[in-house]
Amino acid sequence: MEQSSATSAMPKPPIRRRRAFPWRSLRRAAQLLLLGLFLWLFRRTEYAGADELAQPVNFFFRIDPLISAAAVLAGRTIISTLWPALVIVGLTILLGRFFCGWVCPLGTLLDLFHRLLRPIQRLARRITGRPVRPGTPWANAIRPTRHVLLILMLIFAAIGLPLVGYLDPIGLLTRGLTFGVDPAWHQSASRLIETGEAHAGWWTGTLNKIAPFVRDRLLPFQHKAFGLASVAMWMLAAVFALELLGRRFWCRYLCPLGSMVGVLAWFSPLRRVPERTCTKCANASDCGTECRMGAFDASGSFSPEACNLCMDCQADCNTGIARFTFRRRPKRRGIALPVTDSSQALGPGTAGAMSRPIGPVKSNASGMSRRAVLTSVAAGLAVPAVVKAARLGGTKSVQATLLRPPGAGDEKHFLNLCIRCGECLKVCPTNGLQPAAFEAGVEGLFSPRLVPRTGYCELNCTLCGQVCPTHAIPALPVEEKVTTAIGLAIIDREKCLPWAKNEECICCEEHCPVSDKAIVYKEVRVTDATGNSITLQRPSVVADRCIGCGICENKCPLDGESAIRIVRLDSAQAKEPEGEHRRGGGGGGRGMGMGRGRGRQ
Amino acid sequence: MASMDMDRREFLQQMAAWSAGVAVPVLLMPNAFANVPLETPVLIVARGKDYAQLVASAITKLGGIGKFVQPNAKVVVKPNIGWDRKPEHAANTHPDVVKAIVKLCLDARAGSVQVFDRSCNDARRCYTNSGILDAVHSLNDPRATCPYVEDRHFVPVKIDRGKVVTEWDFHKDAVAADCYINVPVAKHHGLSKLTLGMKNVMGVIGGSRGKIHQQIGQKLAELNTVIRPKLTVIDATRILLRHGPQGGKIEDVKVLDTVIVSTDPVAADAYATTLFGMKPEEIESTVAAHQLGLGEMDLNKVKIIEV
Repeated sequence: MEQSSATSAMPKPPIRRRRAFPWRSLRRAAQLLLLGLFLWLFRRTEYAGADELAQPVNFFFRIDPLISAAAVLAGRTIISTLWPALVIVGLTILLGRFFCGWVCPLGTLLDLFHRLLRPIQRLARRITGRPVRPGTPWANAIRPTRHVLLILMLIFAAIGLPLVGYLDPIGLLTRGLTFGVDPAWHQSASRLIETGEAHAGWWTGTLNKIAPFVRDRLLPFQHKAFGLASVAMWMLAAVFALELLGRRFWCRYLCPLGSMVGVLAWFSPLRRVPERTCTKCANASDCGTECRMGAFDASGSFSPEACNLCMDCQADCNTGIARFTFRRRPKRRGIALPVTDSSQALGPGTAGAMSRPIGPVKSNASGMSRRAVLTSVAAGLAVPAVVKAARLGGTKSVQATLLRPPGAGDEKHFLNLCIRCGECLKVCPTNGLQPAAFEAGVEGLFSPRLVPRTGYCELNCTLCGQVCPTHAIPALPVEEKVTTAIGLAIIDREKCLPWAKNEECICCEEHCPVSDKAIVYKEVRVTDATGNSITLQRPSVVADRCIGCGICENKCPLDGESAIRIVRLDSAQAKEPEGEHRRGGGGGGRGMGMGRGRGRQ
Repeated sequence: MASMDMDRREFLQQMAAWSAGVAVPVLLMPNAFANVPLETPVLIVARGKDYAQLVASAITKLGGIGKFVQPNAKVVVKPNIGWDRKPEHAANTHPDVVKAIVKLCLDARAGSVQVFDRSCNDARRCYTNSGILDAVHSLNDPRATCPYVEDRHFVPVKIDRGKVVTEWDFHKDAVAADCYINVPVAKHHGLSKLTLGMKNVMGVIGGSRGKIHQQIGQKLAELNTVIRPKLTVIDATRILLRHGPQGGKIEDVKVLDTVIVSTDPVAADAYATTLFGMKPEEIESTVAAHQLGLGEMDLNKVKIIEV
């Protein structure tokens, strides 16, 4: 499109007809509008004064066909709230790969980034030589990557290794924003405002006016910090860095969602005509070299599977020839696809043969041969087994402190359904939900876990279940959620102040939200550090009442690790007696001496 | 006005100077200071169903809000908004009580009235579900605000009269207020037995509050030497008898329809204690505060007026 000003200065070609509808402007408007919607929903992914969120903040996940397909495959269940994805599938079959060009917020950000990048890219081009173009040998070599990724992911999802969320563009973007961009933005903006407020100056008047707006509307409510923030950020940054290699490099070569909608776009009757670069204008083959998606191969053939309907080639065409139109699907046995294997793409001389119909797909614009398809299917089946074998730390059971969000249920089922999108981590009001690193094995990377020392599970809050697009965390009603146990609190009497040091405390009892309290205390007469006889309250946990919300672990005044910790209900620790209040009774009257008992763990 | 415009540093300097001056006689003759109150403290006990009316008539009886709130004054109203509980759970101050006080301050032409608390549960949930956010907003006056407490609000303050706590972070607006009105709810508390006016100071301090829980009575009294409320309004419209301070069970709540108002924070706590069938000297913070000269705990030496 940057060529348009140059070409418009030329004499008007005779074949130019009426002004075409400004599809490109419409596309740009749609992109900005939907990016705005995405960012607004992202900002609204927090508690806003009501138990129920007012907006469907997970909207972009629910229209994502890749996530939906993977979740349905993994959960072996129909997830009704994902129906909007079917609308996208239908529209893609009708219109082609419009999702990537018009809807995807990551795509829009990449387009915007490209504008910023042009000077840098010019420099990079000078250093690395030509940018990556379809038709260059190594571009052809990596072209099937996203198809391989798509096939791998769907197979993984079906057989229990859900990797979709890692590379799904919406998930990649949401994670990067949640973990990295948003906390960084909050820190820098609020520090700047605070510094401005601390020193009076010419800015004071303006700052006092805008600061409340920035704090209330543009910044998240509180500062959050996440483990793996840098990993999520680097993954997102890498997608942007790839833009240096070529426009929409990620979308063209790597994005599995792009691959999926691209495959569906084969069926679309909406086609660009002519279905190859033409030579009618002075800038012959511009539409080929300028195409951001590389939808024209080296020989100039157009592939609908790559075209994201950005409408640049139509808008920039000064002959009026290039346009998009619905065509009846040609009645052929196979799918009309241009061929690009090196053996056949011999150059302009063979161009006529390029769009010949071929039989069952043997090799096509994606460069995906039957062998490649079969190889990736085989790899997809084999890799989960390998990953399971290489599982870190995990031998027989999961770690006792690996707590899942309320209602998550069976660990394996949860991990299958969870797409690691980061929505629950974003919405959690206490910052307690954190991404797992390898605590749940390699396949548990980025899955949410409650870290009570960082933040506890707020009793009456059901937000994580509300935002989870795949219901890996069920949307529990409040009445059900307040009785749903995440784990069980265990007091370490070797560390707990009243038990170990005869000091007053019982912060845990004070905060326990269950009524009657799951933490009770017993008054005892003891001698304190100064030799005085004092009455002391010593806490213990009533296992049957405890829901493992973790507020006790969070508020324990010890520095570092808490003296009361939440463990998984299925862990061995949860079944060991802590004192007289353990499940199944336990002897009364022997509580006092328990603090000194060693070897319980 | 000049005094209101002074900045934080100036304020702290003045306060340090002031406290240091007071500390000397207090250390030399603490009991003498405590036992010779300048005048008999007055305590108003108002009973009735219309909580707004209770608050208004009790404060009128005490001489009217104008005695405490000067025109343009910066007022801080400090209720207990610690928990994500509904008003009927008696874990937070009743919104009607808070609203009535804020309204009186506004009517007395206060410059600003801030209502805040450093909550234990998520602040947004506490402000919303306690009903206090809506109550303040319903007054529809830009001077009355319910700001959330953030880290940036805290400043370290030297506690010159402190023996156990010598320095702590305090909310700067609470420290700098022209008029600080303490509006606790009376309720059960496992460690301190009851949480009343003295303990309500926990909502304007920063840092790790769990570290206050050892020798809590003495520490609370010392913290209260920094924040000196001009008025204490104890909400005993309904009190939490068990499972405090969180509560959560209606069966643990007893409706008393009572509001206690006094300029003497210790006397107010002492009286509120009797509502639970306990004696003032059972509450460590009351005893410690009395010993520090913050007020009178012997109810025989307090003029109690029932409304």
